[in-house]
Amino acid sequence: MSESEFSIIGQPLPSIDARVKVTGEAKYVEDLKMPGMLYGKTLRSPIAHGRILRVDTSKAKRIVGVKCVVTAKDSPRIKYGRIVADELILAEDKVRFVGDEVAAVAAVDKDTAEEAVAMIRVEYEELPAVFDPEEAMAPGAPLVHEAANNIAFKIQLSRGDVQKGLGSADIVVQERFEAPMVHPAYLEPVGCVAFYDAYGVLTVWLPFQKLFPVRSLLSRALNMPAGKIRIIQPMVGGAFGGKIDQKPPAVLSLLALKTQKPVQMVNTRDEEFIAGRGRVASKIDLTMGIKKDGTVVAKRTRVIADNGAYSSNAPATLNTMAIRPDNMYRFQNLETEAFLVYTNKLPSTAFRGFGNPQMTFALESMLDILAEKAGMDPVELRLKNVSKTGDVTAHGWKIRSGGLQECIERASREIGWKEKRGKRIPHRGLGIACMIHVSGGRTAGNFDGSSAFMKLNEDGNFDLLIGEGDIGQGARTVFAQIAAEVLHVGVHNINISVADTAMTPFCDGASASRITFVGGNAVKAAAEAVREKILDVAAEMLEASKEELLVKKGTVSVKKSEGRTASFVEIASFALNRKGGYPIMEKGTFDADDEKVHPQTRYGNYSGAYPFAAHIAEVEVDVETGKVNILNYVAAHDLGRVINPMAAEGQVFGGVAQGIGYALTEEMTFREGKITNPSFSDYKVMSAESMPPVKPIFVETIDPAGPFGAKGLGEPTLVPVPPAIANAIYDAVGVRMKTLPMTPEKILRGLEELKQKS
Amino acid sequence: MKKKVKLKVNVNGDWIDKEVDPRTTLLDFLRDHLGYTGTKRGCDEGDCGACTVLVEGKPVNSCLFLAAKAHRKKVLTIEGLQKDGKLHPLQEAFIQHGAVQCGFCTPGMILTAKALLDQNSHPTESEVRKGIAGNLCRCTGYHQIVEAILSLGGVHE
Amino acid sequence: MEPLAYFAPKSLTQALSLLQKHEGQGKIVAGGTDLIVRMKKGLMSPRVLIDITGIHELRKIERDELGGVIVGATTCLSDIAENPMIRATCPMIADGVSVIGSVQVRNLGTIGGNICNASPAADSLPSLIALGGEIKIVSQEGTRWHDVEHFFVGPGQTVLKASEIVSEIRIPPLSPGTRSMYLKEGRVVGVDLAVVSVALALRMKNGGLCEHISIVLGAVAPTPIRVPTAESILRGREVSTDLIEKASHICAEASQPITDVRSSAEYRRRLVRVLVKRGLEKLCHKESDQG
Repeated sequence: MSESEFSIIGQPLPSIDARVKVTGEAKYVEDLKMPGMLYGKTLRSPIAHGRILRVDTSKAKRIVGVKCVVTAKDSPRIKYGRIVADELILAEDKVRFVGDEVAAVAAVDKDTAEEAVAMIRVEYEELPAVFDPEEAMAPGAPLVHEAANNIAFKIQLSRGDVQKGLGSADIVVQERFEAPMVHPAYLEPVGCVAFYDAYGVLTVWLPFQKLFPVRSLLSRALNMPAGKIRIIQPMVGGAFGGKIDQKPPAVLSLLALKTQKPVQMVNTRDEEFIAGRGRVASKIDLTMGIKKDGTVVAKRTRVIADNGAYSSNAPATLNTMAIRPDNMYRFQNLETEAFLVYTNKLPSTAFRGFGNPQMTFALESMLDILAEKAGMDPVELRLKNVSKTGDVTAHGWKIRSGGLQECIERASREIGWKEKRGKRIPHRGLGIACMIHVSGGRTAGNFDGSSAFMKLNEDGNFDLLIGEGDIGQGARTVFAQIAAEVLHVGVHNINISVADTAMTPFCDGASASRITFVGGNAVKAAAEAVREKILDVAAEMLEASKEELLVKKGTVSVKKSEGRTASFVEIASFALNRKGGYPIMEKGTFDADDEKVHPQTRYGNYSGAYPFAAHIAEVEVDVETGKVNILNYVAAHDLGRVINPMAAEGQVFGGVAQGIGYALTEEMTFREGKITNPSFSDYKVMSAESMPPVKPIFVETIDPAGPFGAKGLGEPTLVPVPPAIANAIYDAVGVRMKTLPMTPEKILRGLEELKQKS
Repeated sequence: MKKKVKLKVNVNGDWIDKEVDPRTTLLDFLRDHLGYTGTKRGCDEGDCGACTVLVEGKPVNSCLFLAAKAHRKKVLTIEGLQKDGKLHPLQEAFIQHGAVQCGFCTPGMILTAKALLDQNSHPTESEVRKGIAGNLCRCTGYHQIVEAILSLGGVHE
Repeated sequence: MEPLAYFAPKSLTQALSLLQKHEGQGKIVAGGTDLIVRMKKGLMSPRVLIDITGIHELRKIERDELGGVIVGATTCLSDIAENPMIRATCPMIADGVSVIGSVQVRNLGTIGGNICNASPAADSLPSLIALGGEIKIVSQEGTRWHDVEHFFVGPGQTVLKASEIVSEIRIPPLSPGTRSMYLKEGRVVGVDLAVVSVALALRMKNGGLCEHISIVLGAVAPTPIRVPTAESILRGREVSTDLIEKASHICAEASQPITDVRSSAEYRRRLVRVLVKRGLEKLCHKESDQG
C-alpha cells in the first residue's frame, strides 16, 4: 500500500464531478435544449427478416409540425461498421431484425414525431429468419447478409501442439458452456443532439465512450470529412461498453443534415432492449487436459458467438474470447476456432469485458471440474498454473507486472478458504475464479495511445484538455489527481475540459479499461512537460539551474535558499510579458509499448499492461427453491497502483453487481427474434436489496509502464463473477451450472438429475 | 383540440400557475415546462426510480404521477435541496462516500434517502436497502450509497 | 393523439355523475401506477380520467363498531403498510401491501387501485381474501357489498360495472389467537412481481388443534384462489408435519399456473408447495400471539 510517498495519488478524494451531480446541475444529453430544437423518432421493423418492397412517407410528411422524414434514399447508402462494414444508417433492401431502423422523423415535439412515425407505411416481403447461431451456420439456413454460412467473422489460432498435449494428459474433460445476451442497462438511455450549422460543421452532442472512433464512423456513413464532424461529450449516465457503437447518432445526423436545425433523439427504455445492442451470446465447447499434478497440458476451444444482424463491435469481442483468458496461466498448447455468426436478432456489441466474461466463465468452471477429477483444491490447481511477472505467454503477452498469485492468496485468506472447506456446512460452498484483462490494446490502426494539452493560466490554475472523456467511472478525477501530483498542486487547481473532438487531441476513448493507463500516461506526460517548462522559466527568473529548484504547492524555490521563490502566477506572467513571450502550455503524448498482433496468428504483446484478479464467492443454496444466496464475496484485484481507493472500490462494487446479475438473474429473452422482456420489470438488474456484502482487496504490483504504476480496473471487476458463483454452487450442492443465468429452475433441475443418478 | 387543466403547484418553495395537457406527467412538467432537468428519465414507466421527486414529502415516480394530480401540492426536486448554496447533509455525504459515479440515479436516490431519514432518523442497513430498493443504480453496486445514508444517523447491523 | 379530459371531483356523488355523464369513456383513476403505464404503452386510451384521490371520505383507516377495520379505497399503500392499527389487528394485510413495488409505487398506488386492477399476482389480494374481506361498491343506484374472494373473474377482470366505484374495503375482526403470514417469492430479492404468493391465516386451540385455517394462493391462477380442499384437511385436526405436507401438495395441485416470461408453470407449482409448507410450519411454531 502506497503511503506518504505521494500526496494525492492513493488518496480517496471525492469525484471532482460529484457536486454537480448531487445538485442536479450536471447536464446529460436529454437536458440539452436549443432554440428551435426538433425531436427525432425512429421507425423500426416489426419483423425479423424481410425485403422492403415499398416505403410510403407521404402521410407522415403531411402532419403539421413534421419537418422531415428520412429513409435510406436520403442517405449516402455507404456500408459502415466498427470492424466489418455491414450496416447502413437506415435499412434499404432488407430488414434483418425486429427493431431494425427503417426511417426517421424530425418534428416540433415528441408526440408529433411519434404520430408521424406511426403514419409511415412500409410494405415488407417477409423472409424466413434464423435465430440460433448454430442453426444459422448450418447449410440451407436463411442468409442474413451474403456471408457464406452466415459467418460474420472467424478466428483460428494454434499454439504449441494440442494433440500431443491431450495425448499426454492424465485427465481430459470436454464440456459446453453457454451464456445469453445481457444488456448494459445504463440508467441513461442512448440519446444525442445534432446540429448542422452554416459553417458546414455537424456537431453531435453524444454521451458515448469513444468520440474520435464514432466520428470516423459517421464520417464514412455520412460521406463527410471527419474534420467537419464535431463530437462533444455531455455528462454520461453510464455506458459499460454499450455506448461505443449504437445506431442513434447516425440516424440523428441524417435528420440534422436535412433540417439544418438542432435535433434531439433519445431512446425509450424499451427501445434500449429492442434495438440497443447487448453482450455477445456465446456457446463455448472446451476440451482441456491436465496432468495428475494439476499442470494444464492442452486447451481446445470452439466458440460459436451470436453476432445478431449487424456486426457492430462483436468481432472485437470474438477476439477477446479467443485469446484473453488463456494468458493468465502458463498454457502452452492451445487451439481455438471461433465463429461469429449472423442471426436475425439485434446486433450484439461490447459490454464490460467484451468477450472475456464469456470465455472466463467457461475456463474457470472447467478448471474446477478438472480440479475435482484430480482430487486437487481449486486454489492449488490455479496456483500451479498461474502466470507470473516476467512471463511471455503463449500468445506473446509480456507480463511486466503479474499479481495473480497474490490475488489468489489474499482472497483465499480473506474468505477463510481453508477453514471453511475444512468445516462443511450443508448447502454452503465456496468458489474461486480468476481473470486477466488488458489496459488498452493496439487495435485501432496502429496507435494505442492518448494525448493531452496542458496550459497554465495567469492565476496559477491549469487547464487540462483531453478527449478521453468520463463515462461515470471517475476518469476526470484520476486525471486531475495525476496532474496535481506531478505539479504539486491540488486537484481543484486542475480544470479538465469537456471531451470535444474539435478542442481536445486525438485519442481512443474508454474501452479495454485503458483510461487510467493510456489516458493517465498522456496526462502525466503533459503535466511533466508543463512542469519542465515552469522550471525552465523559473530557472531564468531565479537565476539558478534547474537541478537547484524545488516545486512545492504552486511555487518554485531554490533549495537551500529560503528567500528565492516564485509562484506559478509569477512564472506565468514572466514567461508571457516580455518580448518573445509565450503562455506556458505543453502537450503530452503516450503510446503504449505493445504491438500490433500478427493478422493471422494473432500472436503479439497486445497491451501495455495486464491487470489480474481473483474473486471468491461464498453461497448458500436453498435446495427446495433453487435460490442462491450469496453470503460473502471477496474481490482481489491487481491493478498496479491504486490512484483513488474510493473510486477503485466503487468499480469493484459496481462490476460485481453487474456480474451477479449476469450470473443469476439477467437475460434478454426472445421469441421468434422479438425480445419478450424489454423493461426493468422483467429484465432484473441488482437492486440495493439484492446485493451481498463485497470485500474489495487491492494488490499493488506497481506496473513499470503504468502512470505511478497503475493498470486498468473498470472491466476486470465483472469478469470472474459468474464462474466464482458457479463454482461455489457446485461446491455447495454438487450441481455444475454450464449455462447462464443460473436460475433457481436450472439449479432445481440439476438437483433432480443428481438425485436420479444416485 | 387538447383540453388543458389548471395546475397550481409549489415546486421547491415557489408557487407556480400553469395550464397543462392532462397527459402531462409531473416528470415532463418539471423537466420541459419548468426547466428542472435534475429529475431524470430512466425508463418512463416506474421501474427505475431515476425520476423520483418528493410530493408532500413522499417519494413518488414522477413519470407515473400526472401533473394535474400535483394541484395544490408541494413538490421537492433535487434542485430544491440545497439552501443558499449550502448543500444538504445527504448531498455532502454522497460526495464524501464515493456514492456518485455517473450520477444519473443520484437525484432520485438522494430524494428517496431524504424522505427515508425524515421519517426514520436512525434506520438500520436493511431499512435503508429496502427504502432505496426502487432506485436502480447500475454503476455503484449500492455499497457506498448505503454507507453515505447510514453516515447520517443510521445503525449498522 | 386523442384529447384527454381530466376531472378531480371532490365527492363521490360528483364522481358517479361524471361516470354516468361520460358513459363508456370515463375511467376512474387513483394513483395511476398501473393506468399510466398502460396509457403510455398504448394499451389503453381513455378519453376521460376521473381522479378520485381528491375525495376525502375515500381516504381513511378506521375501526368500525364491530371491531373490524375499514380502509378507504384511495388510501395509499404506504399508509396501509405503516399503519399501527393494521399492524396490530390484521398484520397480513400490511405484509402483503408492503411488498407491492417500491416505496415510490406504494406512496402513489392505492388499495382500491390494486384491487380493481385485478392482477392475479397483486400482493394485497390474497391476504384480503384469507381474512374474509369485503368491498363496498357505490353507484347511482345505491350501495352494495361484495366479498373480495369472488370479486375477480379473470386476469384484470372484476365484477365491477362501468357505472360503479369501489369506495372502501372492510376487514372483519380477527378472532384472538389468529396467526397469519403473507409469503411472496419473486425472481429476485427486492422489488418484483410475485412469481408465487401465499396468504395463510391459522388459529389453533390449546392442544394444537386447528380451529380456523385460510389458505389463499396468488399468481398461480387467473385470479387469486382459496384452496378449500387444503383447508379442510387441516380444520379440526392436529396440525402435524404430515398434514402440512399433504396440504402443501393439495395446494400445488389446485394451482393453475402458466409459463410466462417470469417463470415456468412447473416451477410455480413447486414454489406453491414449498411456500405453503414453510408458512404453515412457521405459523405452528410461532411464539407470540397476535390480536
